[in-house]
Formats: sequence, C-alpha cells, structure tokens
Amino acid sequence: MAQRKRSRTAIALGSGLLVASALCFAQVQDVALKAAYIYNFALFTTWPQDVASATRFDVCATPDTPLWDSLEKLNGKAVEGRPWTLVDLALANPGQCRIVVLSGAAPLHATEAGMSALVIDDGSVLGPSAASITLVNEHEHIRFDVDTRKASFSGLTFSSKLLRLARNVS
Amino acid sequence: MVSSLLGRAALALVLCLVTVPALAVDVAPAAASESLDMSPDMDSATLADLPLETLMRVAVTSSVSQAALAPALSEVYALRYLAPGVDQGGPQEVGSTQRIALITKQAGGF
Repeated sequence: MAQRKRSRTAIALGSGLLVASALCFAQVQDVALKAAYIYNFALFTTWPQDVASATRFDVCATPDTPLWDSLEKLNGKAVEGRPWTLVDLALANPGQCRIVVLSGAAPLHATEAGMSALVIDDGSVLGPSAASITLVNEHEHIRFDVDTRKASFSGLTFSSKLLRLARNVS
Repeated sequence: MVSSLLGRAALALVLCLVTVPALAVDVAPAAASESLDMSPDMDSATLADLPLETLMRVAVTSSVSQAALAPALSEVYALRYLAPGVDQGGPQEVGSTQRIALITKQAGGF
C-alpha cells in the first residue's frame, strides 16, 4: 500500500516537472524571431555617417520572402534615430538599402540596391551569397554566422557583443 | 521495488530537465535563469524589443509545414533517381497507383 502511494507520488512529481519544464521553453514562429534578430543586428552595427543624414532606415527584401510580413511589422521602429522602413528590393534605388534580406533566389539582386548595405541571408539561400550575416536554424533555435570581411567591404563593423553571440565568426 | 525504480526515473528526469537547458544556453549563461513567458503568436515587433541573448533562448516553430514538403520530395527523388523516365511520359509511363507503389516500395533504399 505504502509502495503504491510512493509510486503515485513519484509519477505525479515527474509529470509535474515535465509540464513545468515544457512551459519554460517558449516557442514562436521562426519568421517573427528572424525578423527580431535582424532588427537587433541593426542595433549592433556601426553604420556609416550618411545614415544620420537620411530620413529613413530602409530595409530591403523581396515581397515573396516568408519574412516579409514580420519585417513589415517593424516599420517605424527606430534604428540610429531613423524609422525602420521596409522596401521592395526590386523597386529600391542603388545604395538606398541599409539592410538587404536575402531569401531563396534573391542573392543576385543584392548587388546594386544593396551597395554598402548589411546583407543578411535568412537561411534559405542556396550556395554562396554576399551575406555578412547568415541566420541558421539549429535544434529549433535560431543562430547566426558572421562574416566580418564581407561587412568591412560595405564599411560596416559589428559590436563585440554581436560577435560574441555569433555561432561562427570569419 | 517499483517505487524505487520510479523514484530513480523521476530523479533522472529532473536532472535531465534541469541540466540540458542550462547547457544549451551556454552562450548566455547569465540569462539562463530567466523565465520566458511567450505566446506562439508573439509578433516580430514585440520580439524585437527583447535582448539578443533572450531571443537566442527562444525555440521556434517552422512557418513551413514539413509534412507537406516531405511527400513531394520523396516523389521527386523516386521519379528522378530511381525510375528515370517515369515522369517524362513515353513508353515507361505508369499509372498513379503504380507510381505510389513504386515510391513506397523503394523509399527505404535511400
């Protein structure tokens, strides 16, 4: 009788802890989290002086990217005191984009509008890309790799905090 | 006896649940003790206000259904590599029932 009671207690304890542990692990949509990452990357980047003279902080992507809606929800948030503004990459002027988000088959478009931009691969680009930061899905979490050489070509530098949190830095 | 085993199992579960998450967030140990209260529907604007260390602890659900992609991929592999010509018409064309049988039968081979 006492043994059975202890068994029940052990099972109840184990089950309770399992539920409690599951609640500790929050889950959100990957597209929303990736967009939030990209916004954070903007905050941890040292931008050229001409950003201060611009009225907007233009972020370019293709409307067919899964991240589009999530990036659009960031419109108006401040980066360097300028409002985040999502722009269709195909309609952007050369040099207009501060950030270019590459997705799927978009890498070839990044060269003109994305001159001196922070180019970010959302993790879906196949093969080599011009991205300075690549988002990676790893064990249900988002990680990122940083290529400081590509960033330096665009005149950009990253904070030491961003580099410390990166999975790989090259 | 049973109670002892269950007790040990519960203890192992507790240790697993406590240590694995702690090791998984080794990039931000200071943030490991923070609790997260997030809804799966939380949007990017809300998430963007969180520190990067916190974002790194959040698990994600894919926005693309893997279940929807898997059969299509299997079919492509089967048709292109295991039965070339089947998807191109001509004399090797087979019915849809046969194609499914072919895919199912040979799927274990790759």
